[in-house]
Amino acid sequence: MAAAPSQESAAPADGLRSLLLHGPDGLPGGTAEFFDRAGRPVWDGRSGAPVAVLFHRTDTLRSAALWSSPFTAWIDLAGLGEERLNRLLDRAGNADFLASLTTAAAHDLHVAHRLVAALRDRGRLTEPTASDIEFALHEAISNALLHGNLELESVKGSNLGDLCRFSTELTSRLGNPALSARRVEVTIRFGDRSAIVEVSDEGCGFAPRPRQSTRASGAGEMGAGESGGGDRAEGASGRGLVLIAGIASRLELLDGGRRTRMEFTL
Amino acid sequence: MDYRIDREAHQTTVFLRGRLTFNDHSVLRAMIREMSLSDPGRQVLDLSALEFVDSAGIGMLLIAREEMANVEKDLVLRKAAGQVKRVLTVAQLGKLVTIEE
Repeated sequence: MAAAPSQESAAPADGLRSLLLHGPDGLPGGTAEFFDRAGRPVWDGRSGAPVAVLFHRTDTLRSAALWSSPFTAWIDLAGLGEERLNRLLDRAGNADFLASLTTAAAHDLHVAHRLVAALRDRGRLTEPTASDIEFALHEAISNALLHGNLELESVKGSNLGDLCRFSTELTSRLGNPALSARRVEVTIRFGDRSAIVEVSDEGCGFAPRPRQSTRASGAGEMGAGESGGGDRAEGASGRGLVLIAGIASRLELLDGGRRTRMEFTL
Repeated sequence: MDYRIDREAHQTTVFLRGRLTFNDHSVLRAMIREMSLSDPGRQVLDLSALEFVDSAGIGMLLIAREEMANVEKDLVLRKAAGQVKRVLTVAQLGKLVTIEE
């Protein structure tokens, strides 16, 4: 299926573009001072060039307007030093879209839903590919948050007690400042007939078991999911990556399982 | 996600609405408890207004099936559409749960 015509300038193939900065909820140490230190151009409220939203209150990103054009990057400033922010902005300049949030913020916001809705609204994705990408992105983000950053194991069994234990543990881990401050990063790059979506986390990684057969392929290809089980129709958990592999045209796990790379044909 | 329950003599129908994801564990626990206490042996989950389900949501549907089996009730999934129908198909859930159009 062909993608709808782009309404925005794509990232140049040969390198970096410098995003304009926007701080809708104020910035640490004062917005003007922050932008001075950053040494990067600031959005004037009118330019249609790509803009990075720098925010520190999760509620800020509940505004649909901040997911519309010209915004192409969304960066949670919590815990970010200048050096790390600059590296993130450089990566955002190399991608069509980038979102970098703490685990706490990503858990509160339906990031996959908001991001894919933004791409639909801008004509970058059409159905049914948009729904497939939203599902796969949601699964990859969930894995990054739950099993990566929060180091949670999957629901162990298939009864209500198992679900209760998972709920309790999830609440407990989210309340752990060290874990909930870990970041998850999403990048999206569009090619002529493909979209490459990557999700990375700051967890301990994991070593997947190889799958027997799937549409997905690649050096770090897998699909067995968090539990290592290969059958889709079994227990209550552990099928997320299997389902991604069934939907994406290519799936790879990189950086010891901390980065999921998915490719979709448009 | 939210739900409402329609109780009839021969079956209980639970209408799910919205997005069923890993964040909905508390709602699902309450729903499963209500279904377990409902008299009819046939418990239907109407998915026609469910917009999105993820793998954790599928896992919770399987927990519902297990809990219904424990109290000798049958669970039926009905009227899945769009993304929900696609994910149920890709996950091959029909092997484990009765799915009706």
